[in-house]
Amino acid sequence: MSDDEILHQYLTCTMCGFCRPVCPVYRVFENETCTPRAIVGLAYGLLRGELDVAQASATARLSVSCRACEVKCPSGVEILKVIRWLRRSAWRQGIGPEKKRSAVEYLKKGLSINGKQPRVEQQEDVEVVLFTGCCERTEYAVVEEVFKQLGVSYSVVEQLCCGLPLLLEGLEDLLREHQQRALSKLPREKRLVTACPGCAYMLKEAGLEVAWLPRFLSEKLKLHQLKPVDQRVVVHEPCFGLRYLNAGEDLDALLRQIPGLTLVKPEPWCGAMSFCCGAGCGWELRQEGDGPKLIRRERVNQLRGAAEKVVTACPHCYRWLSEEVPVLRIEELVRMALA
Amino acid sequence: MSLWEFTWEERLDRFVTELGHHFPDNRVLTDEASKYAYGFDASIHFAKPDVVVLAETREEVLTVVNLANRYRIPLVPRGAGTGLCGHALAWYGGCILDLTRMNKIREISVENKWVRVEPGVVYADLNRALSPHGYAFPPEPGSGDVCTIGGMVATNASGSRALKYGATREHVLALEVILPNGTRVALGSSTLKRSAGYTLTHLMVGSEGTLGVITEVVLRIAPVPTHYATAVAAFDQIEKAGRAVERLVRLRTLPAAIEIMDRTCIEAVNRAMELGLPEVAGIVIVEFDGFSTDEAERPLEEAKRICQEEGVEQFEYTTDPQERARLWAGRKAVLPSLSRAVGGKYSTSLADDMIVPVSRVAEAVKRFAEIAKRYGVTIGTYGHAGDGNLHCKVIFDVKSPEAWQQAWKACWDVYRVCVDLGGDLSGEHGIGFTKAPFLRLRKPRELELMRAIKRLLDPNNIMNPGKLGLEEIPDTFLYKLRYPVKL
Ligand SMILES: Cc1cc2nc3c(=O)[nH]c(=O)nc-3n(C[C@H](O)[C@H](O)[C@H](O)COP(=O)(O)OP(=O)(O)OC[C@H]3O[C@@H](n4cnc5c(N)ncnc54)[C@H](O)[C@@H]3O)c2cc1C
Ligand code: SF4
Ligand code: SF4
Repeated sequence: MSDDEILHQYLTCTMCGFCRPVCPVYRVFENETCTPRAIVGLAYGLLRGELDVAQASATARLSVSCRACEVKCPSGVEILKVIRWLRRSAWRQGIGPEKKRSAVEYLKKGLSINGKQPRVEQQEDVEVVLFTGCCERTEYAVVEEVFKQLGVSYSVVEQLCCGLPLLLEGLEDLLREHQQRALSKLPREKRLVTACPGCAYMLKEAGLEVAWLPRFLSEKLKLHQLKPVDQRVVVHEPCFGLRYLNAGEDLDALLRQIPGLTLVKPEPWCGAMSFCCGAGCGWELRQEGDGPKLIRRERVNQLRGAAEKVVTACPHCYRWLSEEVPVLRIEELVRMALA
Repeated sequence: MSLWEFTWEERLDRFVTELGHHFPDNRVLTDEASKYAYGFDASIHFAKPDVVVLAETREEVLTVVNLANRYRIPLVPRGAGTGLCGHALAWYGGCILDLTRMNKIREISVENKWVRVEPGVVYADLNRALSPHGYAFPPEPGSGDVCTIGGMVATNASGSRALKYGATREHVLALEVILPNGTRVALGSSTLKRSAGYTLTHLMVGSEGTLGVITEVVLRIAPVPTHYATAVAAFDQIEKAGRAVERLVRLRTLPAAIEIMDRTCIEAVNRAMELGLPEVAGIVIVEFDGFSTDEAERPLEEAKRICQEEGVEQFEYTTDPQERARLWAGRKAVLPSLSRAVGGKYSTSLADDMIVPVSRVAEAVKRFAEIAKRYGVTIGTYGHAGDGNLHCKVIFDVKSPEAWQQAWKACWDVYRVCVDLGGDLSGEHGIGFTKAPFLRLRKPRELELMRAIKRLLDPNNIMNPGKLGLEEIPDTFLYKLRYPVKL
């Protein structure tokens, strides 16, 4: 990300504002300064030396990295690149929330973002490797149960960071180092499965064979007789599954496979324009301020308007939304259908 | 002590301090990042305000107007900042009054066919709320997902549907306005007809924030057609497309929209959206609507015959809602898609809006292309051909001072062509600052009258100064550019 590249993004931006109403940060703060378009403008201010790093990066640091803006932008401005460039500039000056800084320090030491030692189970004769990322293994309990019901043999890799935090902060050098060190621990010849769409995206980008859980379950369920699950649920489609991994179809396909399920989507905040819950794949919860909480409130209102029960396919969305509404995980629906 | 004994800084300081007595900190923004962010809109310009206020109620607007008037602080009402000519920029500094938080739909009265809204309601949100009733506010600007009703009223915005349903002006029944002296006035009435003196609502429509702040709008609404038939006609010569447009407008069933796109635009949209439109000299999109399949589709036959007689290369139509949505999404994305157009060159919001008589559309498009060639810039032309409303994007090396001079000359010629053809400077986007230099091409009397009205209503000239050529006609638009170029 060179200065020239950022200037190119700025010049490409027509300041049309199409990215404005889809940005969750803008929607909760209702202030032009918090729009993606402003981020692009502020980056220019920094390039010109008209703003200092703290000023120019303020909004970029509030972003929840949901990528709605970039998908909406008709001019193809790579807004996330600009955000990362601004964040990196802030890092270089030691500006950033403590919770993110300590996480990066842990990563540098080869630990997980929570300061835990990665654990890689070495089992040769398994079908897949379950990759939990920074999630606790307990959060994968239902997945493990469903794997057993489906007869899937697996080993587990825990607390090994996929590198997403480094990507989102624009810390490219650290990311490269991290990937070389951490990902080399993974068994190359085995297919990885993860419930986290952020991990799935990063592992895929690193050239590994990986399936996001909805796709894996969808493949497996084709071979099984399923019972109707008489539930009306509204789907919270995770940003990283939709707009990073481009795997919205996989989630839809899995949900369609479950008989009896009545699916509702929270129009217009669904599909490519699915609205972030504020968690930003867990990482953005380390921000200072109450942006993520306000965004969650907005999202919960959208979801509640559509149906009582929410279903999602990301452990971070699940954990974060559950603090405010009852949420089901797709693996729970699958368990019901298999029962 | 008289006001004039205070310096500008002192007045501003007092203004901001007093704002602080009425608003919480997070709604009076004076930090550098906010001032910078509000320095942009969708135009080629950049101008920073000294302070931004986020108002939530009409009472708060009243407070800000009174303070601005007392301290003679320029006050710029702002909606979503999608104006293309620097309308919502604080040209001389001062205060931006952000109205987007005033976004309540106060009342929907289907039986009386109107809706009463605050000015910050986003166009698309309004129509989403009206949709369960089967109604809509029809003008449909390309920026409809973003722009506000206040901004639309202040610029008389419209879009492809204006041909059949009219522009914003035709839908404004009543307004509440806070005048520059702090008087709150109700203009018009919530009735479908009215003959009770001057139509002062119309004075406010298109006033670009120079006469007061609009705090409430009553808009006429219309039933949403249930059936659409949309055709794409591809022509190998723009003149043929123009002749077809001229005849399509005369059809007994008025099309709901007639749009035109030249080759530069078609290619840009295809690139950005993989739309697969035929890459010819020009395409015309013609749409009919109604409340039955027959009503929407029947006129297509006649339209096809006309296009064939004018030598159409390809004529295809769809009644499939998804295919139609895709087509319109492409049409709406022309403007920003042109931003991806040519390597190393960038598109600018110049010659963004022109209007000519419908019968001169083809001639205008052709002459714009000649102008582009003459000055070595790329001009993409598209627009609502059915009512003679054309838009361009001018694409060139924005880092080059020479290229900017050429662009200026090209725009001058474009507007001269429009005026020569019996047209005008803008059909829907307004004048703002960027188009103000071209006011010189028009007869001066109307502007004189406008200036007199402005002096009457805003003697201290606090409302959005520097726009609409109300103080003076600038000699060029090459001021306060947002680009890295020294002129
Ligand atoms: C991609 C794109 C496509 C567009 N397509 C169209 C189109 O098809 N048709 C069209 O007509 N325009 C179009 N526009 C131009 C623009 O969107 C319209 O002019 C729109 O109405 C501006 O609304 P806004 O809320 O963004 O207003 P702003 O840009 O914020 O303000 C515009 C003007 O209105 C004044 N204003 C705003 N609110 C108030 C208020 N409450 N009281 C008094 N004055 C007020 C401001 O002072 C300013 O002078 C397009 C713009 C873009 C970027
Ligand atoms: S949508 Fe794209 S071009 Fe438009 S303002 Fe946002 S970043 Fe700029
Ligand atoms: S990534 Fe999401 S939160 Fe960040 S600027 Fe874009 S839309 Fe806003």
